[in-house]
Amino acid sequence: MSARLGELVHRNGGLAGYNYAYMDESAKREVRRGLLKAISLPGHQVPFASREMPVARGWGSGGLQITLSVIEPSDTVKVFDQGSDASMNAIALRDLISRTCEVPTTTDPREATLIQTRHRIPEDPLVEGQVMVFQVPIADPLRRVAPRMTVSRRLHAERDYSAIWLYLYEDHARLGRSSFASAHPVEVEDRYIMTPSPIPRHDCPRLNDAPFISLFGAGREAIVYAVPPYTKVRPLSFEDRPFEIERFATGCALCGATDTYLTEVDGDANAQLVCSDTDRCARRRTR
Amino acid sequence: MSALAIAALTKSYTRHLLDGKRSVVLRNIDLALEPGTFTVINGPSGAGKSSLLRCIYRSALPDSGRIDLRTNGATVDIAAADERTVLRMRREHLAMTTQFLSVVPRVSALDLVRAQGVDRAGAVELLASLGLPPDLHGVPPATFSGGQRQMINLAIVLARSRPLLLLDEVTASLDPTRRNAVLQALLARKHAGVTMLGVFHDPPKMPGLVDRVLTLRDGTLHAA
Amino acid sequence: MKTIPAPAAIEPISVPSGTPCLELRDITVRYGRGCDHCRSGEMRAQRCTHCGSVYGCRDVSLDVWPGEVLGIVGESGSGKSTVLAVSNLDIQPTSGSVKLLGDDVSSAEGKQRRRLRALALGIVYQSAQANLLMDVTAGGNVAERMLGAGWRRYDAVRSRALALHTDMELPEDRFDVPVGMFSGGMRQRVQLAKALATSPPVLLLDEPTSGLDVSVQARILDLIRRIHAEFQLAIVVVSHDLAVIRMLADRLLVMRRGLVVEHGLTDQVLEDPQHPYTQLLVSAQL
Repeated sequence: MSARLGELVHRNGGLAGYNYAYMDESAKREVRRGLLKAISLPGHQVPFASREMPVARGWGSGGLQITLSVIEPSDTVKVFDQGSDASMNAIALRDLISRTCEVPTTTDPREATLIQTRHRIPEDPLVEGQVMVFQVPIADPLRRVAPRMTVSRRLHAERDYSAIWLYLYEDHARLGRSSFASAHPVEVEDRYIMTPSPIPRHDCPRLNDAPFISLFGAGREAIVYAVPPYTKVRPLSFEDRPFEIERFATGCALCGATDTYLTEVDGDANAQLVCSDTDRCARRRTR
Repeated sequence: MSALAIAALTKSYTRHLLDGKRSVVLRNIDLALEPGTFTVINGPSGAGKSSLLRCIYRSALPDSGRIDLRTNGATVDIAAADERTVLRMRREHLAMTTQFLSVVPRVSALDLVRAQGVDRAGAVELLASLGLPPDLHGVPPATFSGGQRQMINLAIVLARSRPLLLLDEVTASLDPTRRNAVLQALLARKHAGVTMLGVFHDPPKMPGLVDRVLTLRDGTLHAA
Repeated sequence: MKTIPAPAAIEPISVPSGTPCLELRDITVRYGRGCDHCRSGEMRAQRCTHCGSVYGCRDVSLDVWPGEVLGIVGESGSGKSTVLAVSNLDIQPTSGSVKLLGDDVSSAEGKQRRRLRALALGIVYQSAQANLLMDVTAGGNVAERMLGAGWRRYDAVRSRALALHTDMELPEDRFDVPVGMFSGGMRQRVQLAKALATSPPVLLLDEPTSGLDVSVQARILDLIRRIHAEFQLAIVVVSHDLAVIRMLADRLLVMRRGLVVEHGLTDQVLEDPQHPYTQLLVSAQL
């Protein structure tokens, strides 16, 4: 926002004049209709009228539109980014949501009713009634193997997934393993193949039979999709090549956890592996 | 009952590339072959001897007439049978040699014979009985002499063990020794009950082999 | 929550006895709306002079039985490839029926067509690019058909692909090499391995050896003959090369301008051709 425009907004009382939750009611309704369809067809990609948001496309505009469309004043919101509540992107989105929706925010996923995330699922177990909103850069798991959307839609419709299976075959033939480090494709309820967004493989099995609702939004591609609670979500793998999550030689250098997804951070002297979920890590350390 | 009964067979060729010029090579041919007999057809070059054999084998299409082939249970009119029936007849009842070797390239003589359904020992014995030197058994016949090719050709047909054999000039370019070997092999087939119709320029003089000699002249058959 | 039923597992194709594997009846493929003039059947030109419609083929009938090889010859544009494309369910005929293993599949599309292509049909094209993924390994190209048919065991897919790879006389150390790095003859072998991957009862060959040099061509033909002898497939081979047809086909269709002008036993058609066009074709080539 240019300085001049910011000044104008400020002089007019900040967000006065905007609808609750920033978006018009008709726009929210359109997104919710898409989400209802998405929940009815788990894993199926549903086009929606993605709007210009006060964040750039590719910076969580899809997730933001979902969050703003389903939010209520009684919600408590957590926004985190690659496991961190303190990243620029997470802070900006959280700030926007709390100011336009007048809801409390938290970093503790156990207190949140609505969690917007970029590329992680909180390590804490989630429960029924909680809603996860995933930011999605590329909505179609077939993008790598069928670059044309018209072709890809037909393949999904006919459940013709030989191309993605071939991709997996080639991975095993050349590397001896799947090459998907993140966004490992999953099969939803034995029907659609879906990308879980670029979450690590560590998080994939946690979508299976999960008590929470998962909503996925790709703003740039104008696609939403969803996984309702207690839905079968299986990472794509050959029957005799089981799906494996990341393994780490050590536990978290900070909290000592051995069951969490770790990322490498640059220490002063040498690199360390620490929990990617910073909130949980901090709680463990203070306990 | 005849093994083969031909009635009023007529065959002509129409050369569309020569302004549709039509030449009749067989006129109203009647011929009956009794089981286990050896019939020789001779006659001047171009008289239609080969055309007669090819009509029976259906590698040429008759204009009219019947060619009744007796099979185990029934009689099949080769002249009118559909393509798949003819192929079945060739698999089960009918075999023909040609003057020109047309075999699968790059396959050895021995394997060509074995591909007809005989075992290795049988194939070796058959080739040896026709006088093909053992050192040639493993060689594809593309480089063989005319006489050697003819032997391969005959060996393939004999290996098929069909009840009716059509032989087209099978001894034409053989020396007397080899010719004798071939005729001995044919005599053995005759004793086994095989019916044979052969085109020979000179009827073979092997005792006990030939039952009847017919001459084809101007498209009609005459007793020699 | 209501679950979406998974599609039934793909069952293997069985070949009924007493019926051709593939049967086309009065197949016409027309591009354009057609008019009374050309639909009446009196007009035999490939392009209607009244309405401009083009006929890919007209009233073509054929049948192929297990263990049989049917050849189709004709010059470029005669409709050979159209007939093969109809057989491969790539194009739906304007009129006429296509039966595969006894079932009418003239209007098959979507999932049914995919299933038939995966299990009942194998095809080899003159150009490997039309059929193979050049940046995918030889093994992967063969595996794709099995994966498409629903195989989900990696070791089983891989070992069958490797068995076919070596059976097609391809060197084992090229199994995990992208086919883009293969020679023309080797690509045809990969296509054959791919076509045979799901043991389909029907194999379609579209100019399988054209464009290869003579010695390579000969070895591919040997391989096709061996495949035919071993697997007892129903094969349709399209070629403009009479030597290829003579070597492979039991029966033969001669096509010209979208029409079948002559059919018969291969040796009969080539040695005693009846139609003026066939006589021209034979005299030009032999």
